[in-house]
Amino acid sequence: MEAIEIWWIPLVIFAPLAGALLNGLFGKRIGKGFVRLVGVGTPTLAFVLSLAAFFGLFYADYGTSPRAQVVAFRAEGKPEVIRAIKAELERRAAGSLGPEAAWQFRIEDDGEVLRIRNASPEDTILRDLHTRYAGSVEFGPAHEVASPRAYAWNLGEWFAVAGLKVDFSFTVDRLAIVLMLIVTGVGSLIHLYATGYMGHESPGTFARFFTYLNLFLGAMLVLVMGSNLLLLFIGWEGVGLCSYLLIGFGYEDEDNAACGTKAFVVNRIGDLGFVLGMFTLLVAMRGLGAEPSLDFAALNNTLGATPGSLPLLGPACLLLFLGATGKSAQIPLHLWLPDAMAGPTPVSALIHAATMVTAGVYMIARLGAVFTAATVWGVPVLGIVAMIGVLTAFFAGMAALGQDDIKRVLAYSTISQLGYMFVGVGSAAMGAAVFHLVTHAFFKALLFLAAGSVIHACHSQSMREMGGLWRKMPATFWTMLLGAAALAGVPLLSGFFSKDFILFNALVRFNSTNSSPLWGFIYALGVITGLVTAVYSTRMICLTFFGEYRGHGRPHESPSSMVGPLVVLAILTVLGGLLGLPKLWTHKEELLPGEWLGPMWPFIEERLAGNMPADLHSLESMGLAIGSVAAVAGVLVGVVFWGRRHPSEIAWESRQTGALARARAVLANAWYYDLVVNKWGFQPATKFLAGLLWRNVDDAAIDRGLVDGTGRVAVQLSLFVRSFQNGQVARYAGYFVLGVLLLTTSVAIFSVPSVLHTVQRLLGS
Amino acid sequence: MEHQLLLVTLFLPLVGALFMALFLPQEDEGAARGAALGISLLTFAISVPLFFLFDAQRPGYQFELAWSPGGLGPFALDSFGASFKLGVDGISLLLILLTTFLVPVSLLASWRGIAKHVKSFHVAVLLLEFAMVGVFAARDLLLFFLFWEIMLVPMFLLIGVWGSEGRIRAAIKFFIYTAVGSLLMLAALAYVYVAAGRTFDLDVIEPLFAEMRADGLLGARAQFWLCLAFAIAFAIKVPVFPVHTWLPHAHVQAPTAGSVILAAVLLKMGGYGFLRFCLPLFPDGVAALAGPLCVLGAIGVVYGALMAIAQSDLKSLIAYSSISHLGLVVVGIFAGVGGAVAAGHARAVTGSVFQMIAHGLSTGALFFLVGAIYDRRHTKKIADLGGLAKPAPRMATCFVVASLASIALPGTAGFVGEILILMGVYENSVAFAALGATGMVLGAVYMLWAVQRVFFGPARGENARMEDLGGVELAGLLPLLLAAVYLGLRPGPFLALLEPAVNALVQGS
Repeated sequence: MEAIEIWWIPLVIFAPLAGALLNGLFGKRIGKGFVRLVGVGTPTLAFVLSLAAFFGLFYADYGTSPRAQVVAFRAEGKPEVIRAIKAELERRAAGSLGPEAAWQFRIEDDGEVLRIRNASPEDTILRDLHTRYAGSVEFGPAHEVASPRAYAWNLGEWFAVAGLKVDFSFTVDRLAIVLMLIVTGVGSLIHLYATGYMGHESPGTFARFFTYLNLFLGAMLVLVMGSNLLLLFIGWEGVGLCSYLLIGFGYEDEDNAACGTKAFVVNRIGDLGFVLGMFTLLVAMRGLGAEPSLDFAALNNTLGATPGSLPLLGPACLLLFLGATGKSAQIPLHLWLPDAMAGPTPVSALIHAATMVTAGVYMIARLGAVFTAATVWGVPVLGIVAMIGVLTAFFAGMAALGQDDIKRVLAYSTISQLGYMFVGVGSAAMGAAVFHLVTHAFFKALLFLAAGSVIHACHSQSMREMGGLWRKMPATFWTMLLGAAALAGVPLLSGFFSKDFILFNALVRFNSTNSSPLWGFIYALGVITGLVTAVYSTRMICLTFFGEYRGHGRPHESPSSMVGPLVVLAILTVLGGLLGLPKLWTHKEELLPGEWLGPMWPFIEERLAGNMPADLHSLESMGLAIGSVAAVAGVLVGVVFWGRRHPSEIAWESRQTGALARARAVLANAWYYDLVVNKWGFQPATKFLAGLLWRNVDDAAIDRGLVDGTGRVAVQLSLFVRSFQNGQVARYAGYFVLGVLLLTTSVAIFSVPSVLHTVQRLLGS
Repeated sequence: MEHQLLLVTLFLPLVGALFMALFLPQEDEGAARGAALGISLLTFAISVPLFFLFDAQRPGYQFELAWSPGGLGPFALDSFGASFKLGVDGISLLLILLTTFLVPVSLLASWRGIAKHVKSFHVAVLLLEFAMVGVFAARDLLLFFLFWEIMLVPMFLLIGVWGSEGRIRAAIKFFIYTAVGSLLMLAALAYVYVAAGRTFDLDVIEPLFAEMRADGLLGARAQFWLCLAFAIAFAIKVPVFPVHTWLPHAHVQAPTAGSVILAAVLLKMGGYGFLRFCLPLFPDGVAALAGPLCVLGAIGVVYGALMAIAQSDLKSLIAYSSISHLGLVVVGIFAGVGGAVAAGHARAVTGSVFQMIAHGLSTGALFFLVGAIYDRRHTKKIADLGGLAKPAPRMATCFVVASLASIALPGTAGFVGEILILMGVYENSVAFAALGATGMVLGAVYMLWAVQRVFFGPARGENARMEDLGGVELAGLLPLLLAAVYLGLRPGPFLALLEPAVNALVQGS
């Protein structure tokens, strides 16, 4: 990868950080107008800079030639043929004024592959050559730009100790820029929305809110742009801090603060895995004799080069994945995200849906080569990732079905959708996962902001106190409907394409040679979860917008600062699918996941080559059909159960008795996981253990027993010794005789010379 | 020139203390406060150039200075092999800077809390500074021991005279614990003196002992017992589980300045002693004791954190958090001893020293803040507090930042220290690294839980009228917090300073 140094790259990070600093120091005193300007302006500036970087990268790779494809000749075991072809092509290109003048050649893979940039498989010269060497040479598009461009800037050394050097260096490559555009773009929209949502707060609170929100963007950008694992970790913990501060934003209610604390602590458990995984990678690197480094390029190139050969990679990646389950709320550490809904709704949209929680997916994609090379006892780590992902998707999706609080529906939905993303990375379809990350950022941010608009109007989060709002809040209704449809996977909306592309990749794994039947399970559960998703999406829309209004007051549409972002996000939600239309329809690589991101993981295709099922097209059409049926069926189920014009749809659920009521209770409590693991498990166990040790060991046994006991023994001893000195001369004489006897006996036993010798030796002379 | 700087840094507090004792009127409290603050600030200002003058490329000790007066008959120092010898390497230099930085801060911390014997209080703090700098600067064993013992007196007085209700008991416990350690150290010191041919000069003893070890004249057995004697003295100071119980008492009872200095500097004497004496002088003894010390350190990490969770008193919670953090430092110093990866050991030891500095800053700030709360509410019970963020936002912000520094959030000094320790330890022992890393989780539990109970939730009664931090307090706190963040972002120059010293230690052992 060629990195071009550009000095303004760090400005993308510094812009929101400067915003945080300005608002934090002066916001309260200067007033809301200033806070609004700085709070929304700096993320927008970061977005503009990101756009500039994007166009730079785009034209660097595509600008020179509109065709800009890469084709390859492959001749296994015959490098001489490849050399002959190259010589021939260079001769043909040399004097030409045609498109072949732009060809760039590169021989790779021990001379067995010749890649040609800026060429097309349709070129007659190339096809002629292929015919000439037919039988010994394969020819076709290489599905990649040979070396996609990246921008980088190094701000200098962070620390260097005993051979390990870590820099403050940032890289903007094709993967990072996608995340940067989402973080700054969707982030700016949410900041704008928040100026309306938080508009009634006092200037101090308002300034504090935007300080944290801007700080979050800065940290998230460090996470995305850092070019080594430790820098990613700074961002990783930095966003965790902002999440903590913003969940507990309304700190005067201690419950909010407790939710923040819980989120931080649970994430710290994951981070424990993260750092241990990082250390294991370092040790693995030393095992290869490589210089220790935490740079992604070094990690991927050295550790990811030889799949299955390094036994340490498996544990390392599992530990890193534990970190990902914390940040991205997957089983077993998902329990903090529903409670994170205690934060203001724009926070939920930005941090707990669109950006921060996807960090785990991003981290795995970043370390793609390492993760694809890792196995534990012969099981690929990515398979485990996919399995955890699909299980999380299913269990969280079911839990979403049992929630009455609209934000908790969306929280469980987010956990579930993140699960899909892990199925994506787990299927080695990093691009598909990032594609879903992008569309999910659009539609889930939209759903949260629309929910916020509803909450703003009804002054309640419970869907029991909503209903019939579609007439009162038309803009909110229509935009939220689109978001919910995208979430449900209704065909042609963005969520449909991205989710089905992930499931298609799982299906491909299942149909590959030497596949495990578990991939079939993953695919099937993924489809079932898709159906569940459609059901709870429909339920949410029905309970919120249809039937009679069950709440208090007179709800009305939100101000334009809130509706505006909804409309923009709704447009993105609808059009987002264009970023990855299936190959089946376009006969080209999918735009975002294939064409743009594919070159980030060139090895994946090679590693899977030979295992691919023969007929991808029919698999893909089957996948699309099954996905569509599941989504439509789910919507129908939802409409049948919750869509009737009943005054109080939710009463239908409450009226149930017996098995259905029990099932509802199980789902409402999200399978009782939090209750059992946290409230009955971790919390009391820690407190009990701490209290027990404190009272019985520290205070009683060590301090009062051992320490004070020693003191008491000393006092008693001195009292005893004092009793000898009682002034009776006759007794003194008795002690004297006793002493002399003891002394002579001991001298007789340990003869004099040896005593003297010991004394001499002790004195060293 | 540089040598004089070190000398002045050492003696200015002593001279200042004498001046105050002799010439300042007893009743003029303002003058006492001002004079002490001025003297300690001047000391800090004089010590800072040492950092820039120190040549980080050069191994060994710098600014060395020796004075061994003869001609005093039986009292001549040189007649029994002692000398007034100073010198610093990277490790001691950083700790000296920590000391001179923390003393003015601690004076500001007690600006309004000290009401009686104000002048004597400030004299005691300056005497303490003199002794602490002396401990870090001494290159003569006897001189080191003298400073070590002198240090005990003002600290004993600080707790015993200016402490709260249970001060006498706490002071005596502190004194006896330390005295037991000192006694063992004195015995070992005498042996070293004799074995080295009647000299206390460390520059002589270190190479001599290396030779003797090579020639088999200083066997593993002797090293074991000597190392053990030193190690017990230092373990009590750290403090290592199970000889830690003096610390919570001392902290809870001590006045704020005492707590700040105790946590920030005095607790570093143990770690410093391990590095300065045990590792270079008795490597075979260290090899035998490293395992048990690591186990105790790792127990300390988990145990200290659990104890912190169980506390109902904010000050004792922070005291126990120190036991947890310094347990990790002990693991960092010893886990790589005899390990396969020398670079790992070097990383861990570097991290340990850095963590000692970081802990001084963050925990110093926390005790400062607890003192500020106590000055206003006259209680340290967590249950009595709550919701303070509303009436006192500046205090809440500072406390949250200090807490985050304490739990090693990236971007603070603690993170650099902790990650270097864990990384280095991991390369030699996965188990100790994993145990040590549990502090990451448990630290977040007790610290954020404390923040939640003290600062969040509704503010009731007197808590609602809590007065926010004032200018004097901010003047003391902000430098601490800024330093914690600065060291987290630009640790490079400080780590570079440590490298030669640490390399010498790691190769030696």
